Amino acid sequence: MKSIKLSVLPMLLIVVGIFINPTWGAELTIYTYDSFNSEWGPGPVVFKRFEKQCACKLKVVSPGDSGTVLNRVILEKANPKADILLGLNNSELEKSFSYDLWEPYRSPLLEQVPADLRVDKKHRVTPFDYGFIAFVYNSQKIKNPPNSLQDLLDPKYRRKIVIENPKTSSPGLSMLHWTIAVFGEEDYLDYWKKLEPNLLSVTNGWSAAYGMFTKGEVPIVLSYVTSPAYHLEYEKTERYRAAVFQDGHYRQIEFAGILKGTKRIKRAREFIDFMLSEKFQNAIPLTNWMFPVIQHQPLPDSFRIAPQPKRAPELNPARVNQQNSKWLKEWSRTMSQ
Amino acid sequence: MKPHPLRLLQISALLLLGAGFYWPLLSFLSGNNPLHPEESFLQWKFFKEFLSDPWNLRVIGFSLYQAFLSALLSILVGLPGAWLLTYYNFPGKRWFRLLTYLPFILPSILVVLAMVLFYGNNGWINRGLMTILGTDEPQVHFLYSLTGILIAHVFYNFPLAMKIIGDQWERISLKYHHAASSLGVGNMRRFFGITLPLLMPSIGSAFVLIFLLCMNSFAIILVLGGGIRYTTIEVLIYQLARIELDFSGAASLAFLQGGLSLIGMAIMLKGRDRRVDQESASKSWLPEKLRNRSMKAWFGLCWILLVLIFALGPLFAILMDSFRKFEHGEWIYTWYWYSELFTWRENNYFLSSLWNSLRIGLGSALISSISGLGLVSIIAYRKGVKRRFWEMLTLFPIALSTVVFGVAWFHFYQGHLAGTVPLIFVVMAMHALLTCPYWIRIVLPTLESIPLQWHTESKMLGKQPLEYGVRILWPWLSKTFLIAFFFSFSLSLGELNSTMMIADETVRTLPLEIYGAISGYRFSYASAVAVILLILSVSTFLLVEQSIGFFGRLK
Repeated sequence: MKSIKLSVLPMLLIVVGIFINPTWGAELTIYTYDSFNSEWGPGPVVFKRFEKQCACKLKVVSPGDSGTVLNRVILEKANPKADILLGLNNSELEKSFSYDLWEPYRSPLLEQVPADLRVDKKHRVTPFDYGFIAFVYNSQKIKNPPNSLQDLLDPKYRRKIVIENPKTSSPGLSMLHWTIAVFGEEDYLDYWKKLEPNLLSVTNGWSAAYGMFTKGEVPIVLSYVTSPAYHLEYEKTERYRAAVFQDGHYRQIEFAGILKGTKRIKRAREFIDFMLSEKFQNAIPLTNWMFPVIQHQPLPDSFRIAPQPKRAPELNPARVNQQNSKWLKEWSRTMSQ
Repeated sequence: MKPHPLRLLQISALLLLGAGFYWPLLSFLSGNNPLHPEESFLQWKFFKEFLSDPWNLRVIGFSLYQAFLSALLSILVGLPGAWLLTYYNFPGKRWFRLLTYLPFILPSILVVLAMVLFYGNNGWINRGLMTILGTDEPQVHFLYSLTGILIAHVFYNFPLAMKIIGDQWERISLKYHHAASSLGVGNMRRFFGITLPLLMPSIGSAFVLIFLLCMNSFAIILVLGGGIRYTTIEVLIYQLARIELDFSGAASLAFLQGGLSLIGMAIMLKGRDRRVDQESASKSWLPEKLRNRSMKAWFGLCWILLVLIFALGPLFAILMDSFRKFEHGEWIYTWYWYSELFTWRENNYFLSSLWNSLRIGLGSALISSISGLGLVSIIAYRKGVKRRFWEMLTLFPIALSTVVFGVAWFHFYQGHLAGTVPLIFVVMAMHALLTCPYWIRIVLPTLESIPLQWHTESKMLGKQPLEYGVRILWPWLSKTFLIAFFFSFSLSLGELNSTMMIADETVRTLPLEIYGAISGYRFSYASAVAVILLILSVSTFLLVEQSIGFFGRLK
């Protein structure tokens, strides 16, 4: 009898607790992708620092991956709820321009950002970090790492590589663009056709692919040049390496911008300035595992294992926006024949 | 006339379904495309173009094919389990039942990784075989093919089949059994001639549910199918909605997918016209039958062992992974990740996520049960077209892709609810809408196993509906209710897709925590969170079960 009473009590407590919910007002609303604002991402660190600096309250909303966030902003365009969108990558950029979402702002700190990262000449969006996609390998299993996209076709890698699907993931899409940039529109499908036997799986997202890699299912995975730095920093191991390719690496830049219709333009500009300041930039390497656009201080020691590779030829964003559907269509048809 | 108390339940359930699902969906789809205000949303042109491309037709064909096969196999694996649970008791039976439900609670990323850890080329089975045979090459290729997709789908779904079918099996009267025996009918013929036809309603119910689930499957198809050869409609929907930002296309495709599922269901959901005498079968004690060398009992034991390995292996692999940490060049086993979970630090979201998951899960399971009861009472004992109409109406929420459901709901939320209703209730309602169809499918066959005469007789005897409910229905159905409740709760715990769109930090839940940890490279931490999620749902089940027993004794 006693144990029964004991079990009813927590039930009641839970039922009561269901209906308690905290709410508060905020002075600036930021939309960002989920992993940016996860416990391990930069969000908790940098947002807290900004709240301290401005003595104001932020509302951070992370409705999913960066594609979902952009979706949400576009859907809300008539009645904007957010002041800032943080975390848009280069392949989504043109899409956002076509919907005319932005309130341009040129931060005084932008001067310090290397010129080639300042891709938007109209300053609708401001870059905050960048990285390169790369094939990361387990050096205990792969002694002579591949050093070009072509090398990956070697039969010795048969079913040893995992990549992400361009149709559902951003590194996957970057990989598709990478091959188009390197081999051209005439030959990229040919390359993929030859690559296919070496792919064990083409996953829906980075998480599954990288999970398969760290669990020992494959020795090579499509990830970022900065991935090995995590393992050095937290696991004190150098066994995971990024293969440096002669053809160069495809670059992903992440941007943030002020959304049209904001009623807090001053605060929003303050945030963009803050984003380029050391308080934000210094947190990027060890939380977002990307390169900061301004190096206010030297990179952490673990980044010695993250090479700054040669840049691959890049695709014109307007062309990407125009051709993407066609490329994806061609890709899926070629690969599933 | 005094209204029947059920009337109120029915009306509120229909209101929830109508105002919470159909209205948002239809008002979103009939409106203009938010991205291109001059265009209407659903365009016939899109359908025409899509369906005239043979490649797309192949994708549709494969989606249906794999869902059909998965449902069929899940039932074939679940059927012996249903038989076993009907005729035998064995030590740990309750736990066995409980443990096989656990895969449903895990977010898909962890199901995928669990399958890789266990069945993968470098997974436990293959590593075991490689050690025994002394080779370096994986011996069995389970995954990265259609087989991989099917293994994962069966792993996920067979407990559902086992539950739904077993529940009805237990109620088939032994009279039929004895009559058949006395006529000298053999076991096989008795099974196919009598038992199987009597089980058809529940087999149909399970088949439809599993079919729908597999139609909407996404991560499993891509990762475990190898990702290239196998594409389904759901993958295309995702591509259009997330990568190409073509909502109109995504919604049209989701409709096509939902429609196809409904047609499939219409074929499978046959009307139930057979009513039979029912009473609980008596159960034998398995260990005793084993000692008596009963062939059947030994078959049952083999089935249990195989299923334990098949279903619990991957979960066990996740458990082990949660204790692993790579340090200074080797894997060590440690409590590290668990201590991380419970140590206080400024950004520790774990405890608040745990709390959110728990209350959203319980709240939505409660709503789902209440509205499920209302809807079940509308469907039960109906026949023909009317029945099919109601069944489809209640099933459509899970036939529709969650990607589109999320977007439509978001639109609705922003327009009507934002700022007035606390987000947490909105999330509960959304989860309830998604879990209610399961609740209905689980309860319906058992409810209908109650002979209709009972209802009419009790009315003639002048019993109040409430008294009838408490005295007669509740004892008959309480176990089923409990399982349906637990199932809704578990599904809500693992649910992520549909709520992401409207969620903010006030409703951060455990699956989000898992994804967050993984994108921050902390895979083992994610496994630890998953283990907590599993423990949470098991203990909730036990708690609810106890309380039901308690209230049962009260009256």
